[in-house]
Amino acid sequence: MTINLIKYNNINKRLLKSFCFTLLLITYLMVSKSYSQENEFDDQPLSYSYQDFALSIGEKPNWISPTISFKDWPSFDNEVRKHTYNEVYWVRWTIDIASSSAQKRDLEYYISIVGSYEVFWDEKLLFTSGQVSNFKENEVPGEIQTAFLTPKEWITPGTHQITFKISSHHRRKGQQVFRHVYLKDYNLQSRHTSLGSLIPSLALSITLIIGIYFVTLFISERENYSHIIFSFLCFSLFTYGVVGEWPHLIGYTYDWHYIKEITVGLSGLVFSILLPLFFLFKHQLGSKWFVIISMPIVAFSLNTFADINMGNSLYWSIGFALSIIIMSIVVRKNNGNYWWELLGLLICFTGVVMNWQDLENFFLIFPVLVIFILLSNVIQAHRDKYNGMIIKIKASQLEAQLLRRNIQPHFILNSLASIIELVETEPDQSVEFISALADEFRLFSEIANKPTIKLTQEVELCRNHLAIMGFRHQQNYDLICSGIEKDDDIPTGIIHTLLENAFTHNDYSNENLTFKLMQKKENEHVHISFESPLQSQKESKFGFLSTGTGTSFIESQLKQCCGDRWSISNAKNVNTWVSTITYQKKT
Amino acid sequence: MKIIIVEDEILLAQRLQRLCQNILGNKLSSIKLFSNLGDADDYVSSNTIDLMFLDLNLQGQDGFQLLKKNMAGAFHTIVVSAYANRAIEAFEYGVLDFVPKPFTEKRIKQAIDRLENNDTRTDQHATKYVSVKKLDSIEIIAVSNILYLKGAGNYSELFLKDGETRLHDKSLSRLLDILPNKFDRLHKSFVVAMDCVVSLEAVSSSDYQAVLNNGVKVPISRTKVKELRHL
Repeated sequence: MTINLIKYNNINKRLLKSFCFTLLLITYLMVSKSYSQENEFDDQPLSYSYQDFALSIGEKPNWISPTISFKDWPSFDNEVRKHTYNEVYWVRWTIDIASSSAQKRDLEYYISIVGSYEVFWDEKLLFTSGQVSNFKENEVPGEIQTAFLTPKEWITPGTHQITFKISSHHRRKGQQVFRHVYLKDYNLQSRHTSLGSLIPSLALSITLIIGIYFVTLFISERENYSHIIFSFLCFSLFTYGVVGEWPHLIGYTYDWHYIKEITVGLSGLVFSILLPLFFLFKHQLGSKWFVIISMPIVAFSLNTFADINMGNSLYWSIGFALSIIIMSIVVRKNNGNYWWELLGLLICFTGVVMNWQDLENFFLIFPVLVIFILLSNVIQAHRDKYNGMIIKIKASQLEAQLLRRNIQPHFILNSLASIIELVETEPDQSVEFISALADEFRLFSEIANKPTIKLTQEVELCRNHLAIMGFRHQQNYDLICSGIEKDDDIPTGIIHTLLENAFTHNDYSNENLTFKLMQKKENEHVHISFESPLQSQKESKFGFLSTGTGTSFIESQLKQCCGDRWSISNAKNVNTWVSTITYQKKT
Repeated sequence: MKIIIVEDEILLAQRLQRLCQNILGNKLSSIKLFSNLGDADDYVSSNTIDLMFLDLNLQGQDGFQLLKKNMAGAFHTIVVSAYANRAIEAFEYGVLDFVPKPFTEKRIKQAIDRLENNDTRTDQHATKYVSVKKLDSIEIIAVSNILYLKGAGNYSELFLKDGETRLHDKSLSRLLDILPNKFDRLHKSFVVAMDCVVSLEAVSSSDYQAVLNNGVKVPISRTKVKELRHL
């Protein structure tokens, strides 16, 4: 069995190593791909800052004219943006087109504005989105996101004026009007048409399927709440991703944009709360940590929810940072286990920091975290199976040890030799002796395969053993118990072993003696003290046989039954030797 | 005969005592019981005994240590133990017999008979070492290193192959009890390892001596000469 165990462990280690290597490769590819996409996105031939924009309010048809000076118009800065406009307003700016590049390029406008608008190139109408109106009831909301080509013949070298006539009656206060305005080279393979939709769709599908998978796991294993938390984690991210990608995938009119932002914000917030919660439940870190972890998330999220965009980045980071703290504690507590989850979190946290301004793409990295968590589960399952096998082997070894002690030559043959003498000299006593010996064998065969027995059984075992030793030494030995709760369980054979040890190390052959067993309970701790008379053997130049199995047996039994929650101490008094075992049962 | 019993199990010690009394009857002049090695060792170092019954596990103490120490003594040792697996080792150190527990009167009698009758030697558990007392310690000598032994009253003189000699507390007869069969008593005062005898040499018409492979000559008694002629 041991050889099989080693083989099993080696094969699985090899498999895991190769799997881990493949996973790291995939992670690297995904992260680098996601990062390179971000770079591509920034690569625009023409771009503007809001400071160049000028704004004027009201309906004046000649404001489309390039000759109108807009020097007196206020600049379109953040303060102005937050103003709620109840009528049509105009935004305009100029661009310079260098002669060399003019008329050789198809320029594409990629616009996302929270409002209905008309776009003019110099004084020519270029594009209309919805219907602009001074009155809410007459306004037809335009698409949140549009892209259109600028006619080639209009793109002449020199300065051009771009004018937007906008009405946004359905916009909420504080909502940003201009989301994106890009004038860029038209590219059929652009991010917004093919790859840009493929990867998010793929990532979202994976997230959804994993979410459903974890729901089924929860159904089959009801008590494991980490599964249902993880599925909701997946669903919140799925919502975040689907709603975030909606403008690219299907599109909607700008009046829905507020709903979209609220949904994105809420799903992000739910994700940030669920993430540390998941690790708390998965690793059963306790309610104390739950309070510590959840407080800052709630506080920060409430504080920042007003500004959704900023808030998202903040509580995502907080969610990840807290998860990293939790996992660091878990890894430390578990002697380095589960570090794959920590690694996954660190990679994702880096992703959040790198995408601080544009978290919409975050869910591309999330599958990496999922893979790391799944891998960690696989490794843990493998470790549990291995430990389970070790525990089984250990249990059978302990059973064998207990039984072997019972048939060891020194005990059994000395007992038999004593019985022969009694048969010849004191036949009545010999019958009792044989009966006590039979009781000891019967009790041992009943309990040897049990990790714990009732304390009363252990006491019975000890008293029977004392009877046998009494016959052998022709003395009366007694065991006095105090505070014993008969229904309490105790690791099998540990008091019996202490008793045997006492007989090994003391010369009890000369007088009647009393042993004491005391039990005390403090909260969840059980203290068991065994007091044996100290009848030291004469100081001798002769060494002891190293039996050495007694103490190690007790330690193994306690470890088997109580994990690490036990201790054993010995105290030498004037006339007694007291061994105290303290343990807390495995929950 | 003076006997001591070193045994911590009181019933077994009493049993041995009873059986010895039954077997030896009047021949038994004294018998003492010890339940620990220290007391027994103190006793044998200041008293003369003929036989020791020794248990190998006394409250965790290793009786073998007392055995090794006292193999240099003048008395014989019979090990009485539950650890039958240590019998070979015990014989190697020159115990007279190894009685496994539990034991019967018949088996104890057989062991005591070995002491009284020299012909019970076997090669089965040949002694490999004899120990001799030095000033503060015990020297263990391999039996294979002994060429011949010469009786010196209650002691024996051991002549080793390397030319050295040692004095042993056991008499020639008692040493012969525990030595392997290849040792033969060629003379009242000489025991020789027969595999070291090169030739027999006539000194006169009736007196012979054995020539050993190192050139030493050892006298052969007349009865032994006759015995050898028959072979």
